Amino acid sequence: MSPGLSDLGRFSEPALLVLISLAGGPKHGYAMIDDIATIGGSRLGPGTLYGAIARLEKLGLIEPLLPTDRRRPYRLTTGGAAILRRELAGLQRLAAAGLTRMATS
Amino acid sequence: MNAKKAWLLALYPRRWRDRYADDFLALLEDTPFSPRTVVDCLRAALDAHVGSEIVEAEPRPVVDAPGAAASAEVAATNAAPLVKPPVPGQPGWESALDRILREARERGEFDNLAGSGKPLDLEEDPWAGEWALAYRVLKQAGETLPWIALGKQIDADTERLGGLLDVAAKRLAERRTLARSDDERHRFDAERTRYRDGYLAAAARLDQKLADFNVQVPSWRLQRARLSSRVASERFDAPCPPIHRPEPPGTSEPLDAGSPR
Repeated sequence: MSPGLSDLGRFSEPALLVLISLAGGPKHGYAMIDDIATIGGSRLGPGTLYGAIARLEKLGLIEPLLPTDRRRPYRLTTGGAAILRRELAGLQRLAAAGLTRMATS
Repeated sequence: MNAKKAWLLALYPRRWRDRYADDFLALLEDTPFSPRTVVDCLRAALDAHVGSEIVEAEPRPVVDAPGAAASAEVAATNAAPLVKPPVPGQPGWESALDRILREARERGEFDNLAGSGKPLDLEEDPWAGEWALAYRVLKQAGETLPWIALGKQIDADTERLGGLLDVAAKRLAERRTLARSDDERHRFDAERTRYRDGYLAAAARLDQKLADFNVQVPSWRLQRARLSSRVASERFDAPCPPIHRPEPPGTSEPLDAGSPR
């Protein structure tokens, strides 16, 4: 059983947002914050962002690329992509169930 | 700005800094510096201290290599026995200090210490060494820090000043009822001026002590309100008004207590 994001405590939501952001291609910290804000997540603070990045890196879900201009980009690993797919599928089931109930009640 | 950022970075544990300092500083450069940022970094730094959720070895930067997929899979499964990050305040949470103390206690390092189970003796300062005798003598003689001693003096002086005013007010009230002729009224005012000058002189000496006190105290919170000559005059004039009203103003030279007779 591979680890789930829910093990990350208060960092699980930022971690999910980071994974989603990196699903669109490698990015460095500031680009992630901007990207996440654009796709509708909250604007993460620098501490929160790096808390999430450090944990995701430890879990092997993302990995650093060679830094360009001091800013180090990260990208999704295969494991990260698998976890992200599973998390999103779970959210989709949840959303679908909720919407169905709202429609029938 | 840079100092603030360095300070935020310094909150993090060394291992974390070694790994993320460059990225983090670069990010801070692009982030508006607000209280929210500070709080965010504070919380995250605390987390970084409590958990140890970082990659220990040098980062292995990946130059686009499709073969890296397999190793990433391995990394993901290796990381499975993840320690849940403890949440401060929740059961099961233990700070780094608490842990060190608990482990030392479990190793028995606190067993059979001298004086265990006995009440604390706060009278003797164990660090005083060869000064212990001198400190004890000073303490028994009522000696204390200069600013505390001065504060006590000020308390005593304030009380004495109040007493002075009470005496003057009482005596002048008696005299006032007896002063019927113009001559007696003039004598009353002269006596009143004598009391007033004495009072103001004492007030000025007290104020000087207050000024000294305020520069000696270790914190501005301990400073006391000064006693200006205007306030002192008002305090005296309220219970002890003159009979002949306006004498030329500016007669409040505090030190001239000479008798006009």
